[in-house]
Order: sequence, then structure tokens, then C-alpha cells
Amino acid sequence: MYLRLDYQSGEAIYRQIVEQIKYKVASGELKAMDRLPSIRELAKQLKINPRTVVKAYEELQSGGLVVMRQGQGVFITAKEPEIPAAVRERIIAELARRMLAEASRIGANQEEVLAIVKRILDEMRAVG
Amino acid sequence: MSEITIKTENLGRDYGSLRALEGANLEIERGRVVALLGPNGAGKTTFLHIVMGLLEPTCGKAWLLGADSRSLPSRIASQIGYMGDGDEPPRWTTAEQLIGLQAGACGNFEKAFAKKFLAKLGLSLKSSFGALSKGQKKWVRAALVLAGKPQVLVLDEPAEGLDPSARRSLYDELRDYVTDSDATAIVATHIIADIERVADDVAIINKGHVVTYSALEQLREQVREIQLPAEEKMLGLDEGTDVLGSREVPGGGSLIWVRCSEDGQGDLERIAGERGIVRPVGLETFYLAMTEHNGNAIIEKERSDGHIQQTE
Repeated sequence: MYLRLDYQSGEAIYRQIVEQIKYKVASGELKAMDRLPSIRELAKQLKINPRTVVKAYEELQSGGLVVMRQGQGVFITAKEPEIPAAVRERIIAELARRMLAEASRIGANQEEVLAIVKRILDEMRAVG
Repeated sequence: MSEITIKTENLGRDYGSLRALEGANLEIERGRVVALLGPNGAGKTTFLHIVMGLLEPTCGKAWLLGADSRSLPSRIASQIGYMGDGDEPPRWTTAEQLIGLQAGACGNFEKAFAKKFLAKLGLSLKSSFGALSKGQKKWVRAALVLAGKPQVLVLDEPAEGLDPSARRSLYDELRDYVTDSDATAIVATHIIADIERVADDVAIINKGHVVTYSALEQLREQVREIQLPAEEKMLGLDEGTDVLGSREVPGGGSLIWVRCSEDGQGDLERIAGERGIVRPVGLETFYLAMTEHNGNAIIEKERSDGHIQQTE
């Protein structure tokens, strides 16, 4: 499982893990009953504290997205991540507003911004 | 779970009339990698030396693995893996001889670990220490320290002189070591980008004072930079917002660094207004805000004008 951490994004590492795993489930890359790396494996792969992984997995478990079975591992459950549509829209609108404000400051037009968004989306799909 | 590896209480040290360290209170938990940052002469090395029992504090106390630093029993002192600016081995000793010497001096030493570690950088066991580059010497010393299987790693500029790829490898090895051995590491450094990746906590010392001690995860979520155009004022920052520092931007306008809870972040956007920008920052920017740009004139002026409320 490839996760990409950004240390300067203003988002805690455990949240980045949570969000990326949610994205992988939503996009179908991870399916029900898929096994996630163990806490230790993921900590060593990402070079982070095992407790950060525990925090991410616990949050995913409390959201019903994964289940941690003692001695067996961490598995994706069948459930899709549930974020209410209204909350989703608010979060994304906020991010978009910030991006557009900054883009206009540096003189980018709407088409340019949309083209870049589309390109990044394609790149993310390609990487998975 | 949360055992304390290093604890200091009101720790201070004077050199004659110079106060090198004052009122340092830290509690470092086992299993953490702590980045110790600060300008040259800020008191980092003084702090490390006191904790390891190499230097007496002028006031306050330090404990390492529960023992008073002024009288560390040898079973605890032997748990320290220290890498500093200290003595270098004679130029003609080979890496292999150094491993042999270290194994004789240190009971837990794992020769195989040290040899494997050297091989990662392609260093020959036959190469004499004096013929190595500055970075390669650091790598050899790191091998000797880690192979001793210490519970507490105290590293003073361990990556200085290493090229970027070796630096990354060194910190990866350090992180793996801490994870595998449930050890604790405290790393004093100026190269912030590398340590930012693997550290759990950051302590910043400036002019003898610990000005920050915090989990990096919290800083990532809480510290923001606000960029304001020239004529814009910071109106109405609320009490929960800690103003860390500021500086003027060439050509007009200013940058202000603040720390606030996640709940307060929406407010920051509102306060910054239409023309201001709020953005997250990395550790390096945060470090500069806490040292170089701390207490800058802009803040003082805005405070005296009542635009910013004093937080403490």
C-alpha cells in the first residue's frame, strides 16, 4: 500500500493516513476483507512512530472502515466511509475557496486552475 | 506505556557570568524521537551534556531513566549512545579495528549490526578512519553508537557533512532503531528538513530558554502563517491564539505566525480578510518564527495599538 506523506501540509500525519485509506476504499483500490499492513510494518515503511499508526487505525476502526483483530491483522470492512454530503461539500468548498484566492493573487485564470486540478487528479489515479 | 526517559526540572547552567541555560522543563517519553533545535550557542549542547551527566547543572535537576544525572550509575550510563563533536579515533585505525575496540568496551555490542551498517554506505572494513570524508566518519561513528544497542540516543549534529541521500538514510536508520528497540532519541541539529520527517517531538532552545516543546503532530495542525498586504491590520485575534512571531515582507506587507486550536482556524481566515492568506507552515518556518522573528517590531506595534491581544 503506497501512502504519500506531506510534512508541510498543515495536516497531522495520522489524518493523512486516515484520509488516504478512505480514498483508497472509495476508489476501489482497497476492498472489503483486504488486509492492511500491521502497525509495525506501516510505521517502518513510513518512518513514523508506531503510535501514529495506531491512532490512524483506531480512527478508521471507530468510523467502521477497518477492524483490528488481535493477532490476525487489520482488515477493511465492507462499509463505505460515511461523511454526510453537507459536511463533505463544506470541506471541499473551503479548500477550493482558499486555492482560488491564492491562484488569483498570482494571476492564474479559471481555466488554468481547472486544468491543473484535472492533471493532478489524473496523476493521483495513475499512482493509486 | 508512557515511561519517561529524560526529565528535567527548572534546569539551568551558568558559565561564569554567562547564563547558558535557564528554567528548562522537559519530559521525554520512551519511544520518541525528539528534535532539539536552536541557533548556535543557544544552549543545546549544554542541555545534552547535563542530561548525560557530563556537566553539573547550576540549578534544577535532570533525570535519565529515573536516575539523577549528577550521579548516574554505570548500568544507566552504559545505556547512553552518544555521538557528538568529541574525540576522533586515531587516523590509522581501520573501521574493523574500531568495531573490535568498541565490542570490547561495550557489553551489548553487536558486531554484525555494525558491519551491516557500514555496508549500507559501501564502506570497507579495511578503510582507515583518517582517509574517510567527514560524512563517512559520521556514518562510522553512528554505526559504533547504534551497534552498542543503547536505550537512549543522544546525537549532536549526527548528519553534518553527509550528502542528502546519506542524511536521509541515517535518519531512516535512526527511526527504525527507535521503533525496533523502543529506545528514545534526542537529536540536536540545524538540518531541519530531514529531522522533520522522522521526529515525534520538537524542542526549541533560544538564548538559554526552551521556547517550545511540543509534539510535531500538534504543530502541524495548529501553526499557521498569515500573509497580509501592507495596509492591512490584524484585527481581533482572540485570546486562544498565540502570536509566535512576525516579519515584514520586502515590498510591503507582513507575515505573522500564530498557533491556535483547530476550532480557531476558521476565525483566522475571517480575520485575515479578503486580501490576507492563511497557510500551513513546515518546521523550518516555525523554527525561524520562534527564534529569529520572535518578538518582532510588527507584533509589538500591533499589540500597543490594541490589534493583537497579549496571550500570556
